[in-house]
Amino acid sequence: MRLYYPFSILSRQLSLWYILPMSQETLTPVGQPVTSCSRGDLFRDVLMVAGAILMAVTLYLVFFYVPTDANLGVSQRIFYFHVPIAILALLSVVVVAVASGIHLFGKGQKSDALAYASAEVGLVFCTIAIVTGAIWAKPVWGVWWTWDPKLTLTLVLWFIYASYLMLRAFGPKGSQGARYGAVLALIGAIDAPIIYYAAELWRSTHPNLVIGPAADSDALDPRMLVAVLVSLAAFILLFVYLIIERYSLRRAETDVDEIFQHAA
Amino acid sequence: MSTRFSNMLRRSPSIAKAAPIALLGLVIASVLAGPVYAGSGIVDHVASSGFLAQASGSDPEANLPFLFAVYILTWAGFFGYAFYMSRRQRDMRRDIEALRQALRERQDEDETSS
Repeated sequence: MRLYYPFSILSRQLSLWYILPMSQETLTPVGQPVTSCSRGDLFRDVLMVAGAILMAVTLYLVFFYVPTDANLGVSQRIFYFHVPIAILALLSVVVVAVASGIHLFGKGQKSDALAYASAEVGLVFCTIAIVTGAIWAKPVWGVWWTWDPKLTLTLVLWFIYASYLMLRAFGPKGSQGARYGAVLALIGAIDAPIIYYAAELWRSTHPNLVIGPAADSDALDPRMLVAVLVSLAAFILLFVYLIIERYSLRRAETDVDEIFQHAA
Repeated sequence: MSTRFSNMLRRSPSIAKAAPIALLGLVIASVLAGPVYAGSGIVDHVASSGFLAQASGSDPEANLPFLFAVYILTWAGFFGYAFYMSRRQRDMRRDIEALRQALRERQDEDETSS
């Protein structure tokens, strides 16, 4: 069933969001004007539009709704970007580990592509979380970086993402490389819960948990809580959107690579 | 042809290739930041007050540049990644075009030989 959606056509004409069809049969329309889209395209468009709307709401809440913190001043508003991005950086490594586990036991190509896509998007989120954290630390702590347990473990997570991607890029190709990557991802995922509870486990300069199962219920002003939850929802949509895009691209790259090998 | 494709992949921008450079930058930044932190005496103050740490002074908007820096860098990061993906897609379209050309040549050869 093929349906017509204006946003899909527009996004393809912009070419930035152009997604190659995944199967070999549908490779023929590449480079030609696309006039129809599938349900998957509709889902992506809904994610993109909903994410943009929620992001606009987030900006409104951050700059016009939430109160200014008495001690930290406006720099506290960094929190509404830093925390959701850091949560998704942690979530991403869990997705990588689950997909890698499925790949190890099920040998599915799709799960491997999902693990790769999630690792790459996770690296982006982790990098932004570290950078935004450093910028927030400067006015609050007076330094850009400190070897605090939570910060150090987040840096270790960044290394895990980077080493996974380097292993996939420069290590063995094919199923062997995928298996090595899956093992590394499963071991690396142990870091995620340790990061989450680091501020509770050790004496840390990093603030205690303000959101999630282990957070205090009155850790945040209700208006701040609303703003951070809306921000989290917006970044979740962006995260899912980026993973779907990268997953599609990864699958297409694998298909094209295989065709090249057959043609050679 | 597969070699040509591998070379193309090597030439294409890659997060994996940028990782060692970023790693080096992080290590240098950390080494430079370490002594400053050690001499600042902030640790106890921050640890005792939890989320609320060093005051921003009497002016609540004193740290506005940091706030804007975070928002700008965040969006620059996401748009940069979107740009990276679009580059990969363009590279792949080029590969598909090369593949089409190869298939056409093979078809022509088959037709002439038959």
